[in-house]
Amino acid sequence: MRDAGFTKWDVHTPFPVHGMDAAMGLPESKLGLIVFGAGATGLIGAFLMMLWMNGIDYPIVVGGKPPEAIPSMVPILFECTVLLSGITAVFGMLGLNKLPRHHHPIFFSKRFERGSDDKFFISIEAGDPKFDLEKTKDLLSSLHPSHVELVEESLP
Amino acid sequence: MKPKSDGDNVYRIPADNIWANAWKIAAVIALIGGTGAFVGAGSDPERFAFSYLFAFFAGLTIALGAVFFVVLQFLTIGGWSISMRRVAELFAAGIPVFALLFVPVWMNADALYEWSTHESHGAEHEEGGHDEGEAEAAEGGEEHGSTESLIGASTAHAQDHGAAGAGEGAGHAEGPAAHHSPQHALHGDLLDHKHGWLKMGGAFGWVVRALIYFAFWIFLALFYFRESTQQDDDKDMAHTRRLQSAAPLAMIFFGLTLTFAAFDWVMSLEPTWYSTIYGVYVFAGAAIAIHALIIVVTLGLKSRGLLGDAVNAEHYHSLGKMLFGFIVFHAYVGFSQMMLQWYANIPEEIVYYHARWHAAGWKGVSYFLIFGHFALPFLFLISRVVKRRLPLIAFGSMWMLIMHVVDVYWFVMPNAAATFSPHWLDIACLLLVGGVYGGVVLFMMRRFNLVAVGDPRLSRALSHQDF
Repeated sequence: MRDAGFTKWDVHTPFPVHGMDAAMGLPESKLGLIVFGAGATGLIGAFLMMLWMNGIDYPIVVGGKPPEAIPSMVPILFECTVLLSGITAVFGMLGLNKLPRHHHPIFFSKRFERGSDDKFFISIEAGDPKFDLEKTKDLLSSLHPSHVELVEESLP
Repeated sequence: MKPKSDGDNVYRIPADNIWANAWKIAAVIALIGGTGAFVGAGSDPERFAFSYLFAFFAGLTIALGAVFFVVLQFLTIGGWSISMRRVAELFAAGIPVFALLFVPVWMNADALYEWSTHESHGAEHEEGGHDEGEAEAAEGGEEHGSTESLIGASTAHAQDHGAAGAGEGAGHAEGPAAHHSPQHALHGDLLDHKHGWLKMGGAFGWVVRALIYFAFWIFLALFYFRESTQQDDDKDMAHTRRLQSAAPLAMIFFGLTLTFAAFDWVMSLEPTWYSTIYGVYVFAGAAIAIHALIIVVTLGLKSRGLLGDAVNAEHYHSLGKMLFGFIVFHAYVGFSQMMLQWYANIPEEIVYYHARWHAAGWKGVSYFLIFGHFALPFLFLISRVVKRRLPLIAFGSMWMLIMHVVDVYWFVMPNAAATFSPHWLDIACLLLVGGVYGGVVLFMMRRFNLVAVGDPRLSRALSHQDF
């Protein structure tokens, strides 16, 4: 499927299959970069926040230290970095997976339930630019599956 | 994923390989360093004591890190690390040489540790023979219950002697006159207070404790080494079982001995200061050092074709993650030690950071550690790409080894000279300790398999995948 140039397709297996990402030609996830950006934002944002609050807006001398002393900022810098990184990791992952998604047309297929049990599926979306009803069906049949099915996006 | 095997590769160093002769290079380095150290010991014995302690401790932390790595893999029953565990075992098995290398530290203990020559204050005052303050002085000298009474007693000392010796300066000048300064009285009282632990002789004194630490470390390292290398030949599962069951207790006593050795040999350089997290801080540095060293050494062995594919990018990815984790941990522990003492700003505690910040030159070293030991390596090693690209992870690891040495320098050297003043003796001692330890390990490397071929779970390491 990868070599045939499809981009909107997926594989459904009852258990994770090692090496499937490489076999499908999936690119590296952007999530790491996004989380790093969020962490950096947290760090810089927290620093600016404290610089403003403690250094400029309402300086208070605590324990004889300069109000904008950096060592006193570090715990919050750390915490805000981790906070934004964590939240972004969770919601970024969901977002990149386009989740939560309440429904997908593939669920109209009665046989699809077995994909979480003991059957393996390849699905190709009609929205894929390389999709052609006859040619795609032939390509899939050439793999000798136990079943090929066209799932329509309408109520049965 | 089908478990891989590397055929019948036994991973031995052939006689013509550079690694077979590397011990000779190490021996030459040790000779060069040793000559310098010998000359320096004669010309500047005070500095030599500290330079040598610094080099000794830098090397020892690596050997202890190796012990930690080996015990950890058995404690966690890790599979990924089996193909590189032998390298750590070899470095751990070199720890007996540190018992020998410890001798110059012991011989120089009186130069290094002021508590080792400190007489109990109560006795000194009786000999000094002060008139009106004498009775109160003797009583004050005995009152060592709590820290509050300690400070109270010292103040009383100062007041008692104020009349008799007014105008005498502060500091550690010889003679009874010096006892009149409040700082000296406080200092001396603290040393008295800690005398139960900080004493050279005695049933559980500094010397005996050192013997206990070394006895344990040597026993532990050689036990793990022997069992593992025997397993290469007999492939008996019983070795693995023994090493796994020993691991929990071994780890507990490892932690205890490392902590107290750090207290005894480095923290007590500043006997009036203390930090309860000191052992953890030293441990974190050791853990960084060993992961970096394993990366560097296995890359070196790989480059000469000695490891086949037993250690590959997958392993370096995992090792890099561990290295990264310990770097963050080290920074976390180091910062928390500093932050509490910075915030309270109590004179008894803050002297440590005062010496490493306000003394000329040390502020630069401290900044260098903040950025070079933590901030930049953090940004570098966080990347997956970096961890999987061997030249990059090699650079990162070599850098961390250098930073570890700088870290130990920062522990020890502010006691040698108030200002940051590197001395050629520092390098000479490093060459000596590194050459001796490295030479011993390289010499042993020729006689054993570089991978634990007898380990029943080796195939897990060979087929390890890190995503």
